[in-house]
Amino acid sequence: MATELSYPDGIPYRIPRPRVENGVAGTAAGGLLGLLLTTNPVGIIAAAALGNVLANQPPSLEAAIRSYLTKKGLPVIGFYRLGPRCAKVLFGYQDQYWIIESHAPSNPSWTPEKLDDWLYGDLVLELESQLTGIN
Amino acid sequence: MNLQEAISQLKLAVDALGEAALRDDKTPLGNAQALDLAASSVGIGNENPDVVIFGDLNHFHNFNKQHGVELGDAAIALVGSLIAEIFVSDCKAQAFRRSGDEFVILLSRSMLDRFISLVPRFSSCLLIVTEKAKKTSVTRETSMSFGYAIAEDEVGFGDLLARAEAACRVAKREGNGTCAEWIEELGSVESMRGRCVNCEADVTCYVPQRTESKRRALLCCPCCGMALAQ
Repeated sequence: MATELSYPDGIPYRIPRPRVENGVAGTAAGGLLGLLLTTNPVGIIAAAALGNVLANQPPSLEAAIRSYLTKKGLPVIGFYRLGPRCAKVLFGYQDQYWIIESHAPSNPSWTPEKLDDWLYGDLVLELESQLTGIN
Repeated sequence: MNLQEAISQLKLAVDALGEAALRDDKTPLGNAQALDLAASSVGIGNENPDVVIFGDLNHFHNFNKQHGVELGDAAIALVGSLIAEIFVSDCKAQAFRRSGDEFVILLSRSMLDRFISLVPRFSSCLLIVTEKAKKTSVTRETSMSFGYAIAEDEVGFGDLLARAEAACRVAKREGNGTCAEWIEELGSVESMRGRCVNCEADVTCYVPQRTESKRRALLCCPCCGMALAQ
């Protein structure tokens, strides 16, 4: 599991994408079920999630962020990946639509997995701050 | 967890996946695959739907081009929610997003008057999108028009949908939030593709099959009214 130390030096900490422990088959089945029932219903993402869970990999950034918002009861309308260091999410809340965006700081030590973890955590942070602002 | 519990959980997961495969990803409606499944029940009698309605956002190409894909997606989500709220709940309709900004609604003829009375609510749909990073909150207006065709013996679903789509083009000429019925005078229609000489939009027009070529040359872009290069 990614930790605070896993990001490149000088990059502020962000919560990484949730991992599913795969010690026993039953846990994997439970994780899969949870993911399927809570993630926004996009077949391809669910299928990708299945593969990822079985391989003990984190879900894709899109699947992870959709799952997070769906658990909060927020419908995800669109997920936009704008290059490796930027992602945008459009969601509905209180009869309006909101866009949150995250740009990862530039750093030569980024890996794709760490970038996705950081963007996930930053989008979650943005979302929580947005919701606080709205409410 | 024992094997039996794992199997039953996986069955639940498979059911959830099957259901998810029929749901649209941007709206609370069914997707194109769900429409394909529902199409077989149109016009077969009993409580099954016998009216096929087609609707799309007016000037959507321009809207997307002017305001960006995120606002375009938000507009699709908004009208999808309104269709679910107004037609699905109020008219007991089945509604689907076929693709892009195209929506198909299946309805029982007994609900048609109710449907027609509700269509004007789509003359102006207010869209509010807030983007924190840009510190902007924009309000845009979008609208829809609808066309419908009533099921007849020996007319397949594909033809009914083409008729509804042709009627929708007629409704669009009449204005936002309007509805038109397909009538025999519209005849068999065929689609023609052209590119607007002004906004360069790829436009599909539906014209009666026997339209003379000089009249076809007068086809205009629905977004900006300029001629189409065919």
